[in-house]
Amino acid sequence: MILLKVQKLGKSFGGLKALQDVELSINAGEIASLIGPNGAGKTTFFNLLTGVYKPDEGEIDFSGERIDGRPPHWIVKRGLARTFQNIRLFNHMTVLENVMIGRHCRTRSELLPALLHTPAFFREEREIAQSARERLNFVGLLKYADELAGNLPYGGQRRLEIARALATEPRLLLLDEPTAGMSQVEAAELVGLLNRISAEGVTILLIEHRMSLVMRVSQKVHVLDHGVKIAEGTPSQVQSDPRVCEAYLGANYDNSEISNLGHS
Amino acid sequence: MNLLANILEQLINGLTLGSIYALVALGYTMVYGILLMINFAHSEIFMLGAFAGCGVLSLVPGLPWPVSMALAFVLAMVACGFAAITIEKLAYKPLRKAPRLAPLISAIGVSIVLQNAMFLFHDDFLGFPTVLPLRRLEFGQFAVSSIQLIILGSSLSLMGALWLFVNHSRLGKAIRACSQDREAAELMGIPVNRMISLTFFIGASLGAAAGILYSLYYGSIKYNMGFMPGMKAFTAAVLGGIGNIPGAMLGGLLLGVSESLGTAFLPQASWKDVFAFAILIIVLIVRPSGLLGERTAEKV
Amino acid sequence: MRLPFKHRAVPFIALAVFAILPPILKNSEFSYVIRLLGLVGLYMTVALGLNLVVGFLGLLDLGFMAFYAIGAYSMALLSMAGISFWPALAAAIIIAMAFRALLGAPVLRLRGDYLAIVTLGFGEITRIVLNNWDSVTNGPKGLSLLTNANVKPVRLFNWVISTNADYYYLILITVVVCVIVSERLKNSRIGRAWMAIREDETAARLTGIQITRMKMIGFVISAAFAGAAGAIFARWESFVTPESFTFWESVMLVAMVVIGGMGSVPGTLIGVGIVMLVPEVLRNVLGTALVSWRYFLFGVALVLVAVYRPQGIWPSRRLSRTTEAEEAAK
Repeated sequence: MILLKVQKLGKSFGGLKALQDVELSINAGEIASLIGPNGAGKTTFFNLLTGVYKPDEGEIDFSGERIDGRPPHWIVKRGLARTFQNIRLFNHMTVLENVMIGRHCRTRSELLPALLHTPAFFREEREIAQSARERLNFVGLLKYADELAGNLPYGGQRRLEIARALATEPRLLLLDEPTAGMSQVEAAELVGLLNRISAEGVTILLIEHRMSLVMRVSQKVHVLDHGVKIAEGTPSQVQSDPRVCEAYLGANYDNSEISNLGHS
Repeated sequence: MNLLANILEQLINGLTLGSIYALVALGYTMVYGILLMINFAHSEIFMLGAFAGCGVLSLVPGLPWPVSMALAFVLAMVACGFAAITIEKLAYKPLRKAPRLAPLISAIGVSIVLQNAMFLFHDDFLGFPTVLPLRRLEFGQFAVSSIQLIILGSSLSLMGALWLFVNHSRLGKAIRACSQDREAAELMGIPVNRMISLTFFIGASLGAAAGILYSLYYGSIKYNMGFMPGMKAFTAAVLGGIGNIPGAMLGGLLLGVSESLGTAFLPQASWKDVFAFAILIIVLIVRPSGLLGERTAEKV
Repeated sequence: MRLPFKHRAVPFIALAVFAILPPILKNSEFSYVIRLLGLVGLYMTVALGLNLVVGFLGLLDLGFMAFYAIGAYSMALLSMAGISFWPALAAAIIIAMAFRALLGAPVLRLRGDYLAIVTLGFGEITRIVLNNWDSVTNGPKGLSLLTNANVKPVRLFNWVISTNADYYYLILITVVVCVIVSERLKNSRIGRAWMAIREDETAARLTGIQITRMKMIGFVISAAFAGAAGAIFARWESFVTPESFTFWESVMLVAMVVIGGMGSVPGTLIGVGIVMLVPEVLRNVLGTALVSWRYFLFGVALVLVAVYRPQGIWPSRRLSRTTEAEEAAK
């Protein structure tokens, strides 16, 4: 079943065409990756999906519903959540509170319950804290629950962003370079986390530069270069595609170099 | 007098007053551009400039007016420039990394200190020396006063000088770089602290000049004279797009003109301030970043 | 996180102390203190409202006194029309909230500093309208409730509220209610959303928070606090004039919240106390001859507090814990 369908997506900034005629689909339950050299438009693509920008052309269908041009909070509520290329946590709030924010769109109490301290209010607060703790446990950060988010080590911050996004109960999770800056060990742990997320039924679309990870974890890979989609297929198909090789390395290298990319 | 002549006169009034607002607005906008702070105390610099000019002019009554005026301007502008640099070092610099409202509170404190210091010195209106020749120049049906022309000429010259400086000099380029990205500018070897001091100096000297011009127009000065013009000038800076230099100039002129035209056609003069603020609110609703403000998308 | 017992006891002890002051001071030379504290209490109410917007949400509001004024004038006009205190109070609060909602709707999406100037503009517009709309507000001459026969006395069941001490207790109760409301909001889904918006609005938006709605809630409730305080003030003074609601009042309110500690309820209360009482203390210490030095010294004090203690005197839990990165940068 197709969960996300993007057709003829285009976006320009001033005179610069960031994305042009981009089409892709993601099937429910899949782990897919979006790769491409820096500046290819991958994060812009995420920004269009999540409602940060409105597309100039094209359509974005999520689970049969048009979501392009809709406000971000509406899109999150429909089940599309993301993390950021440059970590954006609520640094002065605790780790637990950060994840609790993720529960905001799935809960309802507003003024009166909070002011009157109704039983429903307390019930919902308990649920929020409980499910937040559960998500923290899921990503392995439960012991840091009362730490300030800004004090977490880098890898922990990335995992916290994922926990926060998971708390919104997404059907599709967009991860923007989740292993950037991580060591090999941490990245390998993240692969485990991704598989566990997938096992819960969450579809994942990943922007990544670490090719070994991309090849290991994805069922499908989509390649962007200079705002245009240049290839799509299984990891091995993409790896042997000469256009992909050329985009990353220029025309003079051979394809075996691609899997060496992103090792740090 | 026919309607057209009336409008033209109000237009000149508006441009004159507006050019003064523009000079003050430039001080607000330049400091905001480089430090992202609202320099609340800037309206007091305006007042200090007026008093300094008053002082100089009363000390040299015998000189021909272009000389005494030039002297008054130079001395007041330089003195206020250095005052601003001192204020920045004592009250704002320590707060560069503090939460955003802290420098604002500090600026409020400085404003209170300066106003009350002047109050202790002289608590009532003080007449500003009349040194400019007062002539009425008639153009057909409408007339302008020589004072208006001198004020307009002076402010436009100062704005022109600033424009040349900011866009065509190395220091100007350095200041612009600091406004765009302070860290990067520092990494490129630009002495950021000195650029910040320079920005304050320039903003303050323009404000001081504006204070003198304002006093020439209205004839008297007082310890709290900075408040309303300061607020209007800040409004003008925001109207033009805070941080944007041509925006501040445009905003000031527009505000002055709309105030002037509004006064002429409104039932009560005291409503003119409402007019100015109402325009501001409408513009910001329609065009949130101000007239010339950059709609830079935040990088997500 | 429950604080240890001794911390939780402090507010109750403070409340008890404030509650027994009037009978103690009643016939002494310090009876004027009751009126002063009453005024402080009114400002605490307003400041607690401003704290929702400035402290919790992180939005700069430079025209907040306008809603105090709207509350006061609404109460004055309704009282002069013969409406008794409690319905008039409710109406005044609703009117203040309505104006805030009207202003908020188009401007809440503005960037922080533009919002500041718009709130400033609205504050000034309010003051000028009150000053010039003679037919309704009587302009600068103000409205006097003493001479109007329609005005009904203020009573709560059998308690007639008319002396300074009476109003002191009414205000004390109001402050307590506002403290409770602030704390309950802070520790709720709304309060967390506010803090997230304050930390990183874009991230909050992309995590599913409806930003404009959350801001509007904070905006409108803050106006309720201010409107209530203004309404009580109108009946206490029995007189309203635009001169009590100037831009400087709005600015001083922001100073109170920041000095006390933004986003901190006890901090806000302390901030109000300091800003209002320090000049009084100085007046007693320096004597009336040096009245003009009071404000000068106050300005100096303001700068010193801002420079040496920017997180405020009683920082919120949020701001009192700095991250390690910020510690290293110091």
